[in-house]
Formats: sequence, C-alpha cells, structure tokens
Amino acid sequence: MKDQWMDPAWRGWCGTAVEQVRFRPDHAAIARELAAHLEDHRADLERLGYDRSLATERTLRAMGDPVAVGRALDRAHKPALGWLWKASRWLVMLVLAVGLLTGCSAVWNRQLPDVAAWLDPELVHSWEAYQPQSFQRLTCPPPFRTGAYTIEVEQVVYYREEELRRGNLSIDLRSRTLKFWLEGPALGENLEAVDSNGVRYTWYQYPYVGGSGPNDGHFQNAMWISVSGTEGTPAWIDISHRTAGWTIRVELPQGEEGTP
Amino acid sequence: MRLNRKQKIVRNLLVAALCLILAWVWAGCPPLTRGMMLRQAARENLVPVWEQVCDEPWPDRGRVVYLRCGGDYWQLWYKGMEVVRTDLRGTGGIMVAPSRETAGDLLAATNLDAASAEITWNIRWQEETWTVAGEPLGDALFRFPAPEGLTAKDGTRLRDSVWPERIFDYTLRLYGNTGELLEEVSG
Repeated sequence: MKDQWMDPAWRGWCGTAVEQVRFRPDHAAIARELAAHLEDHRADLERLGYDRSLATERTLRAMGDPVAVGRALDRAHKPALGWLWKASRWLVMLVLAVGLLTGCSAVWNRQLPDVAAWLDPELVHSWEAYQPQSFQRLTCPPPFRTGAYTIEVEQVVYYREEELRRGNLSIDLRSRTLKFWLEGPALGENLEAVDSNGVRYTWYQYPYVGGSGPNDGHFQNAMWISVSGTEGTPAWIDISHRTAGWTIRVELPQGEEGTP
Repeated sequence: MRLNRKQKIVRNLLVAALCLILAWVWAGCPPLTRGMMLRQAARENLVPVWEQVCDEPWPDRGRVVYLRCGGDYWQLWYKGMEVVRTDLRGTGGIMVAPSRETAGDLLAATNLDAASAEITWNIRWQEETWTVAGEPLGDALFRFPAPEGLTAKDGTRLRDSVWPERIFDYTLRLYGNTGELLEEVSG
C-alpha cells in the first residue's frame, strides 16, 4: 500500500485493517476512507480540547480492533464481485473503443447503414415519368401474411406493347417484419403464374414471371413482381409462390380498357 | 444516484450488450452461428423449418448444404457464415443435383423410404447413356459416381472439371427393401 500521504499515526492501524481485504485493487480506496474517518474523529476531539497525541490515541482506541474492522470490510468487498466489476468496466471500455474506431472508420469511408431505407424503402418502379395513357393502374390485391412477413401490394400497373401484341404487368410490393434481422423474402425462382386462359408463366421460359430477390433492407423491403407476355385478354392472373403456397390474383382490364 | 457495485456491474453489462447489439445491427445483422444462418435463410425463403439432407465442401467456393422441407429441396451455398446463394433444387419429394464435392457425381434425395437407387443419365453433348447404381449415404440420400468415360465439353475428364449446371438428362429409379420399384422420375 502506497501510504506516504497518510499521517504516520494511522499507518499501522490502517495497514492491518486493509490487509484483511482480499480484493487488493480496493486497498488504496479503503485506506483513504479509513484515514479520512480517523482524521475527522481526531479533529472532533481536538475541538473538545484534547491535545494531538491524546486525540490520536483515543481515536485509534475508538476505532477498535483493526483485524475485526478489516474482516468486516472484506465481507463488503468480495473478490468475486470486485473482479466481475473490473471485468465489466474493461468490457465496456473495449466495446466503446472498438465501436468508436469502427464508427469513425464507417463515417470516413461513407459506409453508414441506410436506416431511412430500412424503415421506409422507396418503391422499385416509378411511373411518374411516363405518359398517363401509356399504362393503366389496376386494383391492388389485399395484404397477406407469409412466414415472418406481411406483404402489401402497393402498385399494380398494366401496359401493352402493341407492336408485339402482348401485355405486361408490373407489381410493386412491400414486405414488413418485426424480425429486423431478416432481409426481404426471396421471390425469384419461386414464382409461377397462370392466367384465366390457362397460360402458364415461369421464370425460365417465356411467357415470364419473375420477382426481386431479397435486398438488404430490414423491417421493410421494397420488392417487385413482373409478368411479361400476356396474350389475348385474360380476365385475371394468379401469381403463386411455389413453396410458401400463397397466391395473389390480379384482375386485368377488359375490352377497350385493356388497350390504354 | 450512487450505485453499489452490483448495480454498476449490471449497468456495465447492459451498456456493453447494447453497444454489441447496435454494432451487430449496423453490420446488417449477420448470423453468428451456422444454425442461425440456416434459420434466417429459411425464414427469408418463406420456409417454416429446414431439415438438412447433407452438407459437402464446394472446393474453392465454400460449402453447400442441401435442405428439405416437406417435398421441396433447396441448395444453399455458403461461405463462413454468409449465404452466397439459395436455389430451389427439387419439388415433388425428389431432388437430383450435381455434387459439388466431386465434379461429375450426382446426388439424389427423396422422402420416399428407398433402399436403393439407380440413375440412367447422359450429358447433353454426348451420345452415350450410362446407368449407375447409387451409393447409399443414409436417410434416402444416394451418391452416383461419375462414369469414367464422362467428359466435359473440352474433352477433359468431367471429374477434373467444374461441374456445369443443367447439362444432363436423367431417369432416376428408386427401389424399396424388396427390390420393388417405388418411383421413376425423369428430368
């Protein structure tokens, strides 16, 4: 114990008391606290008219057996709890230091996560730039649950390529989940579709149905489904997820309305 | 408010945990274990739970695990704890897929109680057709070793090449314990 600062009169008593405490990192603080306590007591006695040496002697006698005091202090400063506290402090300092370094590096390299896009991603397709007569907005099927996700159809657009005499469907969806560690649901090769004329659509062979894979959003993901190559005027198209089992039905425009 | 030592420990642990969670979210919530990676991938593929059929190395690329849910089969290619790609490899209770561990071998899995299997197959650019008996790997999983004469498009042994996708036609026959034909599928 480094006790050069301590009044020599207290050194022996404090040293004996502190030696009883097994958790050594607390020794200095305990010694300071005991010395302060002794100083206060002696000052009180001196105010009552005791001379310094008598006040010192009475103070030490009043404090009692240093071994008993030390053992009581040892019970309050358990080594296991002490080392756990130390370890928790080192852990916090380490985590904060690593976090600070990583954070600074991310800011420096402009690699900050796009939290806004996690919470409210933009739809994949925007039709604002197109002539309103070149496409037709259709009624969105209702939202549905699949696995950990709720999927909302936000926009259904039908447009025709007259020179090829075929129609196309563009569907924008949004998946939501509270399981923020998940990315968006996989669509891709899992989609298949059939229209009211019995024509089947697959991802690998014309006419096609396809969709976006998961992107790296959390909480919410913007996704799309595209159906290309509808011929004739089918009344509806059912789009299904092969393994999850859900199906959404899109009612297609009929007659004159079908050719925007 | 002055905290005692126990309260300080709890506070410090909570602060450390919060910082670690924030760092994990910042990093994009990467899975920490292989099991967590598979559960996460299952949920993202809208599968309630995956049963592992087999896991084999894919030299120079990582590993590939074949997974089953009901009658559907997936192949999931991963490196470390990162999923590189997930593909639906079979529906209707049967999967036939190229083995990634040994180029030229085929793997077949089924949820039928098959005791043995054989496959008749050909590479699309070759005239010859081979019939190979499956080596059972347990749990209705079979490996079909590549016949010696099987070559890649450049004439090298297929076993020494990178196995190309979707270049073979096959007929798989699955047999029960008494040798009766359980199923015959082509693809």
